[in-house]
Amino acid sequence: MASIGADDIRNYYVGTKFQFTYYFRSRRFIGLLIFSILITILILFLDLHYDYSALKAENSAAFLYNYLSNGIIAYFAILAAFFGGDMISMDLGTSTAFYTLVQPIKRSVLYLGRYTAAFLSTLAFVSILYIGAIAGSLYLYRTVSALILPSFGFALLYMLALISFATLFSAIFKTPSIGLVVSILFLILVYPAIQGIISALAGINPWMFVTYAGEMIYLVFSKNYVVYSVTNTQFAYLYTFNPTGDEAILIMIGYIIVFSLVSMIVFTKKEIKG
Amino acid sequence: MNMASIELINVSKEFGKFRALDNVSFKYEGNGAIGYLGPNGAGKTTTLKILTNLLRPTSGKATINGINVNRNPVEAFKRMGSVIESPSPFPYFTVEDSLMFVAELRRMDREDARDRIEYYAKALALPDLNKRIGDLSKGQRQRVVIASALLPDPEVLLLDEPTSGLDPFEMKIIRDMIIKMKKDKLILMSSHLLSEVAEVCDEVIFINHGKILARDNVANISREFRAKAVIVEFLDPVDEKLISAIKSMGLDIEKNNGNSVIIRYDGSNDQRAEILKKLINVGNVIRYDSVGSELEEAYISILKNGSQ
Repeated sequence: MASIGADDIRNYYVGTKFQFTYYFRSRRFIGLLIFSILITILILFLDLHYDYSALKAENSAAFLYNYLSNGIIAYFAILAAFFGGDMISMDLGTSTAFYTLVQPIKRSVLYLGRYTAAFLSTLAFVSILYIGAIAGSLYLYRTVSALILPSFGFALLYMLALISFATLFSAIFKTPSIGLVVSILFLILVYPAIQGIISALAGINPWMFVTYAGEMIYLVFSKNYVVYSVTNTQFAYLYTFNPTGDEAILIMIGYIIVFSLVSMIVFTKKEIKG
Repeated sequence: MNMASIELINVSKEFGKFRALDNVSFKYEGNGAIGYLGPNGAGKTTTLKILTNLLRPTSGKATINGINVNRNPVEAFKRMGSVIESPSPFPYFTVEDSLMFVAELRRMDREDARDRIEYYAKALALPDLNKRIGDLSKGQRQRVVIASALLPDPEVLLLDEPTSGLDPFEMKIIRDMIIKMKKDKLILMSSHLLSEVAEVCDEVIFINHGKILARDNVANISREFRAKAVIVEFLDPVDEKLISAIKSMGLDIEKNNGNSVIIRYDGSNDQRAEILKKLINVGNVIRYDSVGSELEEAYISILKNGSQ
């Protein structure tokens, strides 16, 4: 294993800075920023002035549970795909490789810089989501549940796990847009569908799905949620699995380590043939 | 500091069953420009990609200044600049961002980097430094990439068809820059343009089917492969009478167009002078020139022999 030197730390900073600049100036960042701000304002507006009943609850924690369980899996999936889905293919699949990969920076350091830049970019959007949640809670209940802090922590960890997962597709597919689309499909459709089938019908704990661990972002607001239950319906037994905090942390960290490592190895070893 | 050097030791590269490079070896030291010539698919870009660690050799070793590029790419990259294929910096970066990215990774002093960017902006007629890469033409982008390769003042430059896709004005800027740079750098440059290689390079390597067919300095190649035909232009249109007169002197003549003919000979200076002496007795010669360059003759001859 190569050692980490002062050069690598400096290069990591340069790589992060320039990648963040790239994201910050991209159309996807600006478009998503406008979209996120508008949606947050719209939800708050409906909630605060028109008694949008889907979110309103008896207290701040319950409100935050409703607010964050509302489409958060899809939103986080889009963020991860937009900033991680082409992280590697953005130069391996284009002629940018001939510019970036001939500079005196280790590819692994370049990967880490990009990963950090992708995380910082998504952090802006996750923050908008939480600012909306805090504003709504303050308006409705004059207080914010302290559980918002662990929830935010889970959200950041979940984001890191999703970016790691999405970078794998950017390493597999040469065309940047394919990696992006496949990441979204997996995180919005494939994962939740399979997770639902194997947990509810087959009764298998879906610990291998990061989307299962992601539920912890809003489950944290519920003090007495059921971790495991079996319901005997007329036709079949239906199983319910919910992650515990420790379990969610383990799954997310596992995703971060495994997928980042695999993506980094692919990025480091890949040859530029085309 | 080590002398600048580029060395390939028995380098082979296979893509499945296809052998793109077959036991290629060469070594150059010091300064100067080396032309790397061969048809499409000969192995030129594969060689340059191995020298920039974009590809790894199946066997053999590639070094820059004695550093194994594929084992220690970062150290090798610190000593070289490269333009492989048609690189493109990130489209949302400005010209200045793209150059500063390189400057920062190369540990250049910020003020020094700005001065050098200003210098290359003028020398290579770069577009406005605040323009985005995505808004540039291919030629402008290529000049930005060449500027980024030159910016850190590397000892070795690897250029893969650096003037490809450029207009004549842009080509001249780049050629002049290479001629200037080769005085204190070692440059390996692949090109399809033989006139370009003849103009800027001191040495040439001919490659085809992944094998080095010949390598020598341009002066030796020129001596060995003299042009074996001259084009002669007369003041008046060439008619049958003139053609008959030239043929009667025992010359191998072929009508070219309007006022000119092509005469083939053995390539020696003596016969070339003799032909001119004879021609001025039968018509008013206003131009007497070689057909094709020595390098062109060498290129065709070497590739033909190499494929036999």
